[in-house]
Amino acid sequence: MFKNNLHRINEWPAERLGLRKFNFKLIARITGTLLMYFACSMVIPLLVSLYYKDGAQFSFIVSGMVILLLGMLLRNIVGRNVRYDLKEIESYWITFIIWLVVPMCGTVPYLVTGAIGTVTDAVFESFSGFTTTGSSIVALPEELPLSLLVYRSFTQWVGGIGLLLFVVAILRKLGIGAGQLYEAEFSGARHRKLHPHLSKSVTRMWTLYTLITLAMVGLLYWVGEVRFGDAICLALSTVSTGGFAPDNGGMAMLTDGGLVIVTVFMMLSGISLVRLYQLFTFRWTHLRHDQELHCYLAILFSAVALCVVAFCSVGNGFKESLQYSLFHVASTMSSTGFYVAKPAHWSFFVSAITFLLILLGASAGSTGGGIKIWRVIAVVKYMGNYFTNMLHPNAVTCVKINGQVVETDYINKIFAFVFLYMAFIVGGAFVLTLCGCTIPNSICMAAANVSNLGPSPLINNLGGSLDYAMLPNLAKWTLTVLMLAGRLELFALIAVFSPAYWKRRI
Amino acid sequence: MNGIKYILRFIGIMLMVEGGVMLTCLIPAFHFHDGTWSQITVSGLFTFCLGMLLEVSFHRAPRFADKRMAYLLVGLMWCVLSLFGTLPYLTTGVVHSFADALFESTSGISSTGASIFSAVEWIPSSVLLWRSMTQWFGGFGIVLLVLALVPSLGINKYTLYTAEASGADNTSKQTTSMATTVGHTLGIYVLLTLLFIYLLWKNGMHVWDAVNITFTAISSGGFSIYNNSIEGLTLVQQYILAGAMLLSGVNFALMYNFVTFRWDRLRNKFDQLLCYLCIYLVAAIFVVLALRFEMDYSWRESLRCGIVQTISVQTTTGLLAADTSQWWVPITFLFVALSLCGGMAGSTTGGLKAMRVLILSRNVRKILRDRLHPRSVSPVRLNGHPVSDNIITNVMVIFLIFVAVIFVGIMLLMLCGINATESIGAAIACVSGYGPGLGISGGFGCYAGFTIMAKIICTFLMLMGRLECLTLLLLFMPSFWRKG
Amino acid sequence: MNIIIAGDGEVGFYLAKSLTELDHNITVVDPNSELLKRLEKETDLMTIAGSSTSPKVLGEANVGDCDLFLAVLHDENINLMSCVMAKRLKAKKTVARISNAELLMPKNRDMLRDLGVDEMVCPERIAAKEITNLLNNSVATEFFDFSSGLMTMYLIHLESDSPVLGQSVKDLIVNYSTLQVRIVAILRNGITIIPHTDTVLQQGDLVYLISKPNQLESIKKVAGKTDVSIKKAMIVGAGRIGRYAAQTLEDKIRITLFEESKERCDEVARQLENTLIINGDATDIELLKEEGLQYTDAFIAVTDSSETNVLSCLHAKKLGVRRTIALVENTGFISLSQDIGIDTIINKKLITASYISRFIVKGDAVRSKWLSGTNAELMEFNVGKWAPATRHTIRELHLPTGSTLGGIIRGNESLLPTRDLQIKPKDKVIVFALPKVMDQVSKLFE
Repeated sequence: MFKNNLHRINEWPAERLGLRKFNFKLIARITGTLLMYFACSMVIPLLVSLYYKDGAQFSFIVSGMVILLLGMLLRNIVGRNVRYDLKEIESYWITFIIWLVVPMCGTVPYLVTGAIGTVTDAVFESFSGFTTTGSSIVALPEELPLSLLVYRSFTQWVGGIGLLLFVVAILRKLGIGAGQLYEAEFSGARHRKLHPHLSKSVTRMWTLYTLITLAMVGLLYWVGEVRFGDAICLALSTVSTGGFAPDNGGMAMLTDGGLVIVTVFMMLSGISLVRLYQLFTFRWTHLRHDQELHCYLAILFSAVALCVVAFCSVGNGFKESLQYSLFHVASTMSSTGFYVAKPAHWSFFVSAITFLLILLGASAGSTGGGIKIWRVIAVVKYMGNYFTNMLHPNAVTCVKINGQVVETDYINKIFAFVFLYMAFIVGGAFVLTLCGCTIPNSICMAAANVSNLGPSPLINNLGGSLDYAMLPNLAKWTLTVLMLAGRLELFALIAVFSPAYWKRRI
Repeated sequence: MNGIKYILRFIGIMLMVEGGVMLTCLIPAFHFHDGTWSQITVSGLFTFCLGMLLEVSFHRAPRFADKRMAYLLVGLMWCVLSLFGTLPYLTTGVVHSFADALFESTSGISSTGASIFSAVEWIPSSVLLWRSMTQWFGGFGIVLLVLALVPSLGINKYTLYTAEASGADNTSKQTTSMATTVGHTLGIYVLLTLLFIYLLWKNGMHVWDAVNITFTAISSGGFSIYNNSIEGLTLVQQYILAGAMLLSGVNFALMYNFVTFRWDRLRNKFDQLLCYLCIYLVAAIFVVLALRFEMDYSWRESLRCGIVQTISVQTTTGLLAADTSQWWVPITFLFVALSLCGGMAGSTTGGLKAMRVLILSRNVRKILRDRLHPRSVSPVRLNGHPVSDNIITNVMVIFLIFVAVIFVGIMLLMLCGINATESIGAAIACVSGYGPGLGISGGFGCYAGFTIMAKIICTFLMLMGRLECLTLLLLFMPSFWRKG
Repeated sequence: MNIIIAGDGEVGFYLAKSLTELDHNITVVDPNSELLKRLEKETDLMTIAGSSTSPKVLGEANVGDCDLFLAVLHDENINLMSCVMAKRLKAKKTVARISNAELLMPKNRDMLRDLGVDEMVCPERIAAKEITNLLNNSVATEFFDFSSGLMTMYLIHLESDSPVLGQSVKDLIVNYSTLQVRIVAILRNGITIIPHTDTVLQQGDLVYLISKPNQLESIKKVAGKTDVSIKKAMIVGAGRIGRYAAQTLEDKIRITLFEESKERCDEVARQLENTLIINGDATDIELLKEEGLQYTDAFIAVTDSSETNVLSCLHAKKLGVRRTIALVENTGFISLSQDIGIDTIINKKLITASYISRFIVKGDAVRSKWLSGTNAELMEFNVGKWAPATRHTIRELHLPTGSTLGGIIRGNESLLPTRDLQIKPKDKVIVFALPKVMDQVSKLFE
């Protein structure tokens, strides 16, 4: 009896509120650990700062300390005497809380350096970073200290592969299986893991991700002749399909060769990491029969072709059109969000294609956003079957991708996802109209941010501005929510707002 | 081949009906002496005789039992109706170009209400009546009416019903035969029309005006006979029309059960009704407040505009209580979303329909629940009854196709050189059946400024929206035309 | 030859009966003693009631002395296990009937050979293959290649518009000198006729031809059939045969597959890519029509019920489907079904039996085919070095009545038998023979 009571005292007073019992300590401990790692990663911008002597070194030391302290507080004081068991419901909450807390702490360096004045702006910038969106309120990035730019791109790099993969690694140390978390991060498609052991496959992904990034830095530095700091920024933002550029001049520091490198890497980052792993380990048989990859490439190149035709038909030169179309389509489809100087004449048709690409997005399992090609294939195949069934009411059909059957339940989920996607875009756009944007502009802005694309020339062409700093605070917060929703693939975000996830079942 | 003959025969019957309706427009022609009687007679008789010719020559065409023919029949009938509906416009010289006439005619038949006329008061009264009448017949679904009431069709009429309104409301079929169901619905429709004509007349409107306006309001069409739509009417008249529109968004079976005192059956549609009303209420409150505080209308004006205009949008009618094109952008955006949402399934409204919106959102909730309890069996429920998976996927598919059609429409309109805002407005207004778009086509504006290509695209979109996309899309599938 | 047959169904019994007729020593092992009693009454063989995976039972059957061990039960696992055990118990050759075609892939085949299963036969697979061959080759109702196509056997159904009706075999040779074929048998009203030069061809005859390669065009002319190019086929029944057939055909032609059971439909829908699968009853003619039966080129009925198959094929034939194939399990029905106009009958037992018999026939029979509708067999022999047949020309050979020489393959050359030709050692000969003279024939070529 006494023991029982003692147990109760230790619990969060959730029961009285009719809430679920959560293992908050564990959540705090995991979050704290993650924050400490994050604090340590401040070393990278610090080193850059010291090397380039841009004067921001003390800010990074201070921010690092603040985050470290916060992490220790959560880990060692709140998360004392923790019970190591993770229920499924808590794994959903971990997803949400980590995605909330870490980007929040990510605002510290912006505020400490004073580069960004208000909290709203800093939060916007930080979330835009971690969600790999790339919308920025910084009008002239080249005036910021280089180390801060590296930091900014670094948040994208971390967010790209997914904070949760960090968590998976941490949890492994704690001896807790984290299959659900992996699923939460890669809910686009059911992929075969790279290794039967989850943490091993995570490690492989990390390694691959890092290697690609290093390769890109090297290529940009030696072949593209870019300043080393800029090369790091670009690589971090490209591989994560983030889109924070170290300048606002439309990639002016890039030579033609550099542009090609960035284009190719953007295309690559739109491909699933699993497939990339197979590509680089010469397991090409998987690739040859992968419908998603085929589809991705087919859409990519047909979009490029259409754009080139559209640009040429309104009077641009072929070379210019081709170069721009390649860059533009790769950037849009992989949801990176880099932009270069536009051809002299713009075509409405390109706007329409761009919007379509924003919605479609990249391959499932990549760092890109959007609805994801895999889902689109499933939906299109299902629609085909639906028409067959209209003509042959007794026909029995099923959707298969790569010879694997996609269950009807799962199709239903995909449909619901698309519906939510549209709902988020419409809802977001509505709030943006309240802030004084025109209708097409708000739709595009909402879509670009839910898809984690960020800046798109489309918005510019619809009379809007890519400078998010001009927007009122309400719009900034809305976009922040949209970015987070898009990164968490919608369900994980709205889940925590549905009562079933925090109310105790009676 | 036999199938084609059989289809031609039905098109013949259809044309006879249409010709007959055209001839009724002679009444105002004679009454108001607008000098159009000869042209109206010619168009009416031509349509009627052509129909008769087809009917007589293919009278003995053998029946067919092919599902594809049913879809083809329904699709063709709507096209032919719109095509011949252009005759009164063209013969009287009200409209000069064929594309314009087709646009206006299709807009009428599909009860959309998008118009190429910026002012209408100069148009002869017979043509105005024809305009209103196409909406009244089209809104009810004249194709369905004809098909249901012609005996011995040789195909399952239910198939046709699904072909016309693709599985909109599978619970609508409450009687043993299609003909009775359609009969009940028609009864309610006529009753409502008469009631509102009476109410308007009682409140000081000329009978002629009352007839025209009621025809377009009850069918959720939206053509008006005044230059400034219904803005100039008295307050009471406007609220009466709001009532008419509100009822036009309610399921007809529900109303039938209500009128015949079968109140125990009302529960079957209660969820949808609630959803429809709630959406309306929330939107109306927002609009009223926005008008009052953002646009500095007087309370009286904002209430009038908010209540009347919101229902006009949600039921995709398109009658205008004020020039909405000048309104605050969020309101117009809300209107766009609202017109996509539409009224209840089984009513005359367009759009997605409240039932679908309800199912879509409940499905999201179900998925969240399933994630939490992966082994739970918890179907989506409507009025307490589980909704079968078929219906859910049907709703999903229609939703996606809706979105896709709108998107393609916007893209094509932009290719025609129309700017983004107007393309979005026009495409959504046409597909949902609301009518007025954004920008020049919105408010008291009209579609006259569009290029011919753009008008044809809009015409097509209106038909698409009326047939809920699936039937027409099916006709474009290669597998549809493959033998066997 | 000592043969042990482990079986629990019709395939086993059918094999046992036919092999007994060929004078082999047959032992049948079967768990069902009732059935065995019946079998023993009808035929001259030994039966042992018991499980074929029991070493004791196998010992009783004297497995150590057996030349051939056939496991043809329905359960492939038992078959494989029995074969493995029999092999260890010193059976010379083992054959297992399997149902999972995956095992037939070369690398799996080697693995099983190591385990002790020498040969495998998958009746459903063979049946499906037969169906696809028939659809690819629309003139003949049945055909069979010897020596990888150097000679081919065709079964031609003479339609009413054939130009050769009323002509004798002799006339045929005179009138169609380009036609490089030899008629080995005619099946008329269920009776097998070994034709001689004066035999007159009649309408409705089923003619067995042995032909040199590239004769298809001329054969088409003779048979009086226009070529049916098959673009759309309907398969009824998604059992294994239907499934395999659909799988091989679906990339080339449009297939509609009917199946009554919803679960099976779902299962099949997962396997097949381009097939339209309809959940419905095959005897529901309205449904078949709705799905476009009248526009179909070929109709293949392979449900579990022979009656359904025959009836639905007849209906398809009536609606003008040019090619109908029915699976008929009851051997008694076969000739009847052919009489009423179904183009081709597939019978799993016959197929299995003819496939298995290649392991049995004495002498160096390389391939043999048991023909449906007749009990005769077509065999391909490697002529032995000292074979009696090599000593005379064909005229002096005096083949026993009830057999005909169909063709000779010498090296890479195919020859039609003429009176003055002499068979040489190392030739391959194709002989058509009734079972009673089978042994005499094989002695000639040993």
